[in-house]
Amino acid sequence: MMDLAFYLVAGLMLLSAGLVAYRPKPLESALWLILHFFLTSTLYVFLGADFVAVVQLLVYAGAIVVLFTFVILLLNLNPQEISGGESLRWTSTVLFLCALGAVLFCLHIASPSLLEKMPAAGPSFGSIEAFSRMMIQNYSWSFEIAGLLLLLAVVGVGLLAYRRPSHRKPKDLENKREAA
Amino acid sequence: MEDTTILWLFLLGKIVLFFSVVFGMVAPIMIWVERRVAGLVQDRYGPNRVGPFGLLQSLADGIKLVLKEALIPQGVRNPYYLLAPVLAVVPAALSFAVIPFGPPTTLGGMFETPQRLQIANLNVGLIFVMTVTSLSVYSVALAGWASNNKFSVMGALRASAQMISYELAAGLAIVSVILLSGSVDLVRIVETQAGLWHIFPGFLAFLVFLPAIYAETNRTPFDLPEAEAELVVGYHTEYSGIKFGLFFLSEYSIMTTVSSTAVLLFFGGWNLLPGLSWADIGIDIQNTILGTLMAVSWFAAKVAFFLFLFVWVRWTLPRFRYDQLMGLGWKTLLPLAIFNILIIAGFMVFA
Repeated sequence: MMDLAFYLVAGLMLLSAGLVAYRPKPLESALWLILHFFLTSTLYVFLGADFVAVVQLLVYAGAIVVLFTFVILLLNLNPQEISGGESLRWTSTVLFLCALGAVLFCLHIASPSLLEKMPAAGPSFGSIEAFSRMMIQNYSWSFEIAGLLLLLAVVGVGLLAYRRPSHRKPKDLENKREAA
Repeated sequence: MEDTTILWLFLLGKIVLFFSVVFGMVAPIMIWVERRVAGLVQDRYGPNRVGPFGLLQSLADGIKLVLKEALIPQGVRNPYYLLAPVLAVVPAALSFAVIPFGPPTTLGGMFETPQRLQIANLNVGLIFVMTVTSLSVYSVALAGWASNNKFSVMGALRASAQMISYELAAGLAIVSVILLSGSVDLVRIVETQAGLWHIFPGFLAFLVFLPAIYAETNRTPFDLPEAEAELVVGYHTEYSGIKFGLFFLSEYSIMTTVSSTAVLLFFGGWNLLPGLSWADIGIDIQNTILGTLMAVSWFAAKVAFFLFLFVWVRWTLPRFRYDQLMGLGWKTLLPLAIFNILIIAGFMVFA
């Protein structure tokens, strides 16, 4: 039963991911991306990780794709402008799938245990308490470093987007007054 | 252990009760209240002909909206044009699933263990509410894009920018509540407010939260996405009949959700008064049906106050200018919320 549900959701995920890449209109792709994130969070729910599932939706579907749609609406992209030729797309897809298969095959040969079943999770697995304890106690350094990285990114964006407030020249003002 | 059949029936009862109350009673009554208060504020009558005090006006309007011709303008992007109103209602309905509307109750001895008056018992309830309300922006963006109308697109753009900006402030205000109660389970958050409501230590957080929820529901003074004077009515310009009705319905039900959230987070949920519990005046809200009903009505009364506040503010304050809106969100509310987290976290560590 659970297996069937997993294969169903995984299949739908692949389908929606494909549609993200192959729909001509950017906003349609964004919509399929939202569906994809919903399905991903379904997989997390199957694993019993409720917190990660909800956060996945909050961060990706609730914020990041909203930004995508915002940018798409703002730029008003036309379908022709972004299509880079069908053959190129198909080639890149096939190449990517081959590379992925090769990596998985190498992993399987190098250490077959990676593809075996993981040990069962504890009873408190996936709850917000267990998640935070793991994050703050066991992985506090990587957690802090990730936070620092994000902070640096925010400062960088601020620097890039900052523009000095332009001082109006008195000459322009006079011209305007004359025009009025 | 309880009988599973009874539990399933209880769950079904909760779903039917809650949805019929919110969609069938709160939304129509709120529309009537809105128009009557508007009349009061502007020194005119408002609807007063259909039924006593015009109470059946919303019903009449609803029948009109359903019976109207389902108009689809030329040039709209069709599946998306029809999808947008549906996407507006789905988050509005989903977000009720985790709102507890009363204390855990045994319904006068019907159950052995107290059952929660909450449709889905999720241990991440608060984050779920935030997530689902943030998803409502898609219906607006989609409606604007699919309508093939420049005013609609402008409205959708404004709505997306506004919702993202104010979601941050609201989220950070909620973080301080999570710090105060040490949980994201809404029932647990209410239980931690038994002595002292979170509004007292978290007043600053509430000050950030209130404008943020007004902006998230696109209500005046933040209704720039549908500013009538500039954009016709923004993203739902091209919608009529029941499709417009769905947008309208979702606006009022999201208002109900955020009002309930405000009551649960800051105003003690169903707790009687700060410093005075139901047990102090001799009422057992867990084991007697009357007590449970009183607690639920007290919660409903608090939510009703917040709904009235929405209406009151709408007909009192003028609309912000767009740069004022963005300035308030990013330059005032966001730093204030971060500062507030620092204060509360420092207080909790050192005191």
